[in-house]
Amino acid sequence: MKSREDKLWENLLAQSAPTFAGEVSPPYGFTTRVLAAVRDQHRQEAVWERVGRRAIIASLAAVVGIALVTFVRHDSDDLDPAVKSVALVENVQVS
Amino acid sequence: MDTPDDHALLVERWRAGDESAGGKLIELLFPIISRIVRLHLPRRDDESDLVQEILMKTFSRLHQFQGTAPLSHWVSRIALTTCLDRLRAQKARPEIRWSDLTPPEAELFDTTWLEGQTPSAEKAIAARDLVERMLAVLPPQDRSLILMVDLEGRSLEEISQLTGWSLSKVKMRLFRIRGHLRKLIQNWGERQ
Repeated sequence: MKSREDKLWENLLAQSAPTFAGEVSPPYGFTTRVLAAVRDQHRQEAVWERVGRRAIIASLAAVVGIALVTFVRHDSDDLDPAVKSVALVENVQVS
Repeated sequence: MDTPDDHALLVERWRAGDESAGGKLIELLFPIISRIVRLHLPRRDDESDLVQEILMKTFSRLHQFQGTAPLSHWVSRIALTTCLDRLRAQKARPEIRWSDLTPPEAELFDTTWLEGQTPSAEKAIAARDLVERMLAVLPPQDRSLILMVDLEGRSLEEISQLTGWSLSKVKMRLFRIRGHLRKLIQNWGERQ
């Protein structure tokens, strides 16, 4: 059972309903504006994607470079002088 | 171009790079988004800007559209969640007293109270203002909820799906909102 207050609320909503109806078609120039904005957004996304891809490739190249240098230095027995002197004093075999 | 298959075809054409399909999609989706935005527009937000923002969101996510649900449902969900996210940041206004109402609003309240519905085009604006004043005291998401039920006629299950709220949460909120509105109308009826 609806109260008087509920009925008043329903009546007010029914009277105001036409003002809540949306627009049927976009205003002049709206479609062009949105399409241009979408195109611009896609262009920006493509730029960021390219930048991101390049950054990843550069990071990978740097990691590979560092790994190679570390490997080569380790192989050539290029020890820190302090470590080398300790090794000599203690007569430790360092390969 | 009104069946779900036609909509899916438009999406496919847009994905394939057909610009004219984009224009048709905007014209097709505009009334759907416009209706939702007008109903759930946050204060201080511009309607046209918000419709554009929702369309931009829609286009940036079109690659995710599977076509399992109608495009209109998919877009409605994006529009509603965008509005609800914006509304979340808003706060309810303080309680409005009878003395805060403008003379046309007070007159409309009295005539509606005493005579019931008096449909007239001139009164629609005053009725809208009065409804907005009554809803302004509610938390913004509650405002959206009561309008979805009482104005759009959406079912509680549908609202639960659209908002992601549980059915019991929807029912509980609705119960609380109705109590709040009844009390407000009673107070105005007693001129408090």
